[in-house]
Amino acid sequence: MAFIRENIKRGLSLPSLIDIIFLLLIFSLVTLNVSDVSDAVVQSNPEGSSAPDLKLPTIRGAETEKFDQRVRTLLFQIEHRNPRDPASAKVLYVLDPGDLENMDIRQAKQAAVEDSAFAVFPPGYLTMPESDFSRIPACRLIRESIQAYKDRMFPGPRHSNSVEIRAVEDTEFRIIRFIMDRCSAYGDTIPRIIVHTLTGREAARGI
Amino acid sequence: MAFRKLKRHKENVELVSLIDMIFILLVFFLVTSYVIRTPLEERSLYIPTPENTLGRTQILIQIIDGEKAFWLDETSSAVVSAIEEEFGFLSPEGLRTRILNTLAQNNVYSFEQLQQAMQSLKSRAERNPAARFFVLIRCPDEVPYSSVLHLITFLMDTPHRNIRYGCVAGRLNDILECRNIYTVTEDIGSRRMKNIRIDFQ
Repeated sequence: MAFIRENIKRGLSLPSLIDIIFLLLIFSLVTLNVSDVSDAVVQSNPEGSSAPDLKLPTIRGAETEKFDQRVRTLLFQIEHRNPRDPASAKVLYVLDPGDLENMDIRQAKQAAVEDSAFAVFPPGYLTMPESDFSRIPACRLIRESIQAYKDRMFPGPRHSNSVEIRAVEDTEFRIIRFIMDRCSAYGDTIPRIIVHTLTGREAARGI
Repeated sequence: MAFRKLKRHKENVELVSLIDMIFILLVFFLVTSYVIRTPLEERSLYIPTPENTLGRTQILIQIIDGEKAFWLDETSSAVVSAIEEEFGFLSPEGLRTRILNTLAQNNVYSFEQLQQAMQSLKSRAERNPAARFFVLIRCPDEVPYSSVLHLITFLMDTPHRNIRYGCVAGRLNDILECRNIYTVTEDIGSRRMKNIRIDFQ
């Protein structure tokens, strides 16, 4: 009796192959993110798991976390006068939460406008000598508000004392340096500065 | 002669696999769009207040523009010292020019090179928890602050927090047009070291 051998070609099915590739891709993407998070956890406890979890206060280094649009301490907001025009002059707003523990950033900015706690950086401020620059209204506002806030809220050195800066990306170093210098003049009384880079999206929304 | 019509197999895409793929693509775009969106959200960056002391530094980073920076560290002291020994016969002005030209030629780094130099500094700081490092960042006033923040963020991200920094305004020309640049021998702890001294105008 003659048998007929049937040759069945066993090939890879294309959709299944793509399916597997995408699954692998998603798996690697997701696990990559997870491993970043666990690194951060390990770093926050460098002694390892055997070290007692004492929750000691630490001065935070250059760490980032999502900004929740609340003002908790003295905040200097630097933005363009016309948020849609990057060539327009820069304006400084001094946002002070007052006695409140935190304040919505829109309310704080509204209060700054009402209290005239804002100033425009004049043309040519980058080329001014240091002594002239420190006398412009914006710098005077920075100096006086740090002094007043420090007298009111920071009676002594404390690791949690901080001043915040929220500035558009193209803010020149001179402005930020002036704020840093003024904070640095108080030594450990203001041990850290929190910086937020105001993105184009937030600036355009006028927050 | 009768020819048999060849049977054509219609290649059908299986419906189940197709739906499967569509869902996977959907999940993929959802995940990647989330990953892409995250860095655009406004973040709070905590940085220590810089040291407001003038004078000494172990490492000097002079930002030139958004793409280049000038770097001085202890290896530069050895270079300056070697020039002083080799060209000691030159006039003070000639020696100053030679030192500055050599440094300007060898120590201007691209941001990638700068990143490598900072990485090796961070590795040293990690290996020696007891050691303290001080980096002075000089930046021209008109350069966006993000260039400086980038450096600070990178340098401060060390487990022992033993790198401190200072921030001052300044240009490369202040260094290149300095009154004098030379090495001085100093006793630091138990070590005798040659350090660069720059007398600004």
